[in-house]
Amino acid sequence: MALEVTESRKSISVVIVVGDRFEDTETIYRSYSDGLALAQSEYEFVYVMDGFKPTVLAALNALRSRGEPIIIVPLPRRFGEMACLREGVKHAQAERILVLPPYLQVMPESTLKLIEALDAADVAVAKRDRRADNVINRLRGRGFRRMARIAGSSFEDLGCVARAFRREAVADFLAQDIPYAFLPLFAERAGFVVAEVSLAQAASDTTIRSHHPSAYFESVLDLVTTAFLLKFTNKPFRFFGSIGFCSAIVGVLLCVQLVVERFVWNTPMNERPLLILAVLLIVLGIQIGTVGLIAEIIIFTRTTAKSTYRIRQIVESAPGKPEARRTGEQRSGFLGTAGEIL
Amino acid sequence: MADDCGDGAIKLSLVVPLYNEADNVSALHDAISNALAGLGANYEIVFVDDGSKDDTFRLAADRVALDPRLRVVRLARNYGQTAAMAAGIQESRGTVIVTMDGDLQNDPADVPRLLAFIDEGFDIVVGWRRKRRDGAVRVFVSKVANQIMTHIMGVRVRDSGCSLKAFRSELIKSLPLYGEMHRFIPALSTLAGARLAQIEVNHHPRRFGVSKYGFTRIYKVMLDIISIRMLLSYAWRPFLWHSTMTMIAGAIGLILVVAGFGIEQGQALVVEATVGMLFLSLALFLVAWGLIGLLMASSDRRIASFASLAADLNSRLKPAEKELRHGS
Repeated sequence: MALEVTESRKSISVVIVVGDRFEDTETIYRSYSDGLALAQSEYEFVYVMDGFKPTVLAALNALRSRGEPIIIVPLPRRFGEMACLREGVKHAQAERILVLPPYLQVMPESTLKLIEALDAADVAVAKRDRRADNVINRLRGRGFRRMARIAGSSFEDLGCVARAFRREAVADFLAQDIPYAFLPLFAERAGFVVAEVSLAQAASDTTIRSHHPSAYFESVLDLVTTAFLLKFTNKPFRFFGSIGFCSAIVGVLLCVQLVVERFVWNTPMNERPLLILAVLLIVLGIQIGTVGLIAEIIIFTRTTAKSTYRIRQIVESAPGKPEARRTGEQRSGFLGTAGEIL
Repeated sequence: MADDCGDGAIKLSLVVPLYNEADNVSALHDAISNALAGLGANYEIVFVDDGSKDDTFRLAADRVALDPRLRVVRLARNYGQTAAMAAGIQESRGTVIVTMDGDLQNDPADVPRLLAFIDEGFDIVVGWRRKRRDGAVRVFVSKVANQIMTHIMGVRVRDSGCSLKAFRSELIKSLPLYGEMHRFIPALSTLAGARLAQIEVNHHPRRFGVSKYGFTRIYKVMLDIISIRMLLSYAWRPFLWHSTMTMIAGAIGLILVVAGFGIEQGQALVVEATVGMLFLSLALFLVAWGLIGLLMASSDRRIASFASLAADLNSRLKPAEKELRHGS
């Protein structure tokens, strides 16, 4: 059960997911709230605990007892970043949601720029000004940025947690288990306006950072997942079919080679392990292609026309008016919704 | 001519997807208005701006003040032709929907002729660009694609790439449109029981802008044709949709395994037995996928209704649709 504040509706909700990495809770909270105070808007903080964090919980309860506008959402065990974000947004009151890490990546006072960017965009993504950053961090960031291009990313700093969202822009994605780092790509693909805002990097973020090897592996998996979902959600057979076709064609070519050698040079086929490889590739190709067809069946039977696009605006004449403009018509759930078929 | 809807209801919706067609949009609107002026039926024009990067949307929206029959739907980004068509179709209010390209290569003057066939009782009327004004390579590739589609889908559509088509609204709104599905609408509609007519239509060379047609599209369409054909097979027989492949793999596997294990012991036969087992594993894998297909069909009633698409696939391998030529 969430521990909530009972106040009037806020104009900014700050959602902070507390995972494995966090710094002193009160210091971070004070830094962020001092920065937000410059906005002269009412704000609230929603802290979501990704698992049991007794020290963080104690610090937050102490802050709440002093009247700070904090909502605490303690999750009994680890559910992951997106699940925590979903819970955080569920408890947030404001239409403008600022997601920040429980440690300093950017200068706290600069986070207001993200909120300001929402005047012209649905999602504002921070990119750290990394001129003062450690060279190892910079190289790693550059590597990640280049790899992210596989998924069609043009963003500079997907590793930065600080982002601002309009509620409707993030609501669509919360039910989907997509990687938070790549959420701007999904938002962009769904037709939301995504702005990239350069923010000053926090001094504490410029020291060399180390990550567990599994974090790199997870990042690569997230990248592959994102690339697949972004490029082939509507046509999965194009992905699986291409891989399966390549595999099968290599297998067939190897078989042709074996047959030619059998009849031209009289080399027995059944003594050569190459035959096993050739047949394995053909079998694998058919299997991968079949997986693609099953995926195609699922998409075909569950896609409706309305799930494939998002309307920004309709301009039409209205009775009594020469012209009327309807804006912001939402027509899509990204992965499609169940609906009518033939 | 089309019967007018006397109660003011809209008879015809003309849906035109636009992508970077700023040079064409005004001329297109004028051409459509002129062509439909004598229609004698209530109509609307639905321009769909598919995330154009030029002034297409602004120019189209400015025209709304001049023409109350015009509506402009602006998509949030560039989604592609099928999604743009789907958006226009879903936003349409007419009982008959006509789609056409926004590059002025289709002739709006053909629209009344399409409507006449709908009034005659056909559910879908497809244009046939007999004298295409495109490059030779593109025309050749398109013809090959149409031939393959005819063979695989079992429905002969002369020019499935022609965007100038007319549909009954309830028919087109019930079809799932995604990817680049718009090419398959005539074939899918026919398989679903719709009456199809094909008429020769005018085709003009592109005057402004650039073609969005590339060779990568050919590869994608080929994969789409295969997937659609497999979808139809699946809908026809959810468990046995790949039965031929399963039986072939099983038979080859069985023969090789028997030969490898049963005839004599020796190094050479290890390879045969292994290859045999690979084929047997493929057969088992396909059976497993068949069972999953069966499970999906039994748990989702919508798939059962989709099966009507392919229930009579084989009986349609000899095309029986009525083909009508220009001026007939």
